[in-house]
Amino acid sequence: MNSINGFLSNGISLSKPLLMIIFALAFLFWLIMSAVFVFHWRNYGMKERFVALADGIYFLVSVVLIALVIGFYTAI
Amino acid sequence: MSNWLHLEESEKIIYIARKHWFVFLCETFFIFIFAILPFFFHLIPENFRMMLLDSVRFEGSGVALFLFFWGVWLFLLWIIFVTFWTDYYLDVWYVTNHRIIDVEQRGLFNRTVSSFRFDQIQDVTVEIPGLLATVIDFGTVKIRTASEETFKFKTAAHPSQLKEKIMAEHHRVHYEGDRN
Repeated sequence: MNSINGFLSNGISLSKPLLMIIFALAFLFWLIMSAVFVFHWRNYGMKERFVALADGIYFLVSVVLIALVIGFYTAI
Repeated sequence: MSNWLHLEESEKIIYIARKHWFVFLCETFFIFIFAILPFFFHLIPENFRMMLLDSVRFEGSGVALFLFFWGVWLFLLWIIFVTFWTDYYLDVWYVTNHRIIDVEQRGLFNRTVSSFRFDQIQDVTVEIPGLLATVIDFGTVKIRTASEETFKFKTAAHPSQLKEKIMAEHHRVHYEGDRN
């Protein structure tokens, strides 16, 4: 409880560089996962069309989310 | 067909069995809940909420900051969702006219592929675990082989249909031989 009270009284200071680090970590995680999915796609190939389609949707939605996060970051 | 799944000459896939969609729905339901969770921030008691907000100091637009964090949050949940989907979609049984190929996906890279021919099958059991499983039609299919090994497909969609397909092929191989 003391640590919570301590946190609440001292607080945290959010700065743009800190937010950039948060975004960079999320982006790094995405890069790793994308490498996994490229491996996955190469294993299943275009013949498993639904797998290829799902991986395509994965990349598309991810790119849209990355663009939105960058947009919100610049709007702060 | 998948690069690692090599079918023999004249081998054809007759039936593809996957887990029931309800299992996938249950697994991913909490992701949806987590995705909308930030919008329930206002339900936190006001004095505690104000204490939390006062403890964060930043310069700039609060709405943009919220949307930034929510975007990162959705981004991570999206990756988790696709991981669940991969596990659901690639956990599969292929019933061919020669054998059954059991592909067990564990995580993104780890997969076990085993196959057994119809003449090795000793018996096939279907277990329907309850009312919900009966209504939406899912269950466990167990196949015991001559080598005393048991292959299990838990939460398979339409287990009786899968059993019928396996038994039909088993009978065909038993009476006609494995010629097709």
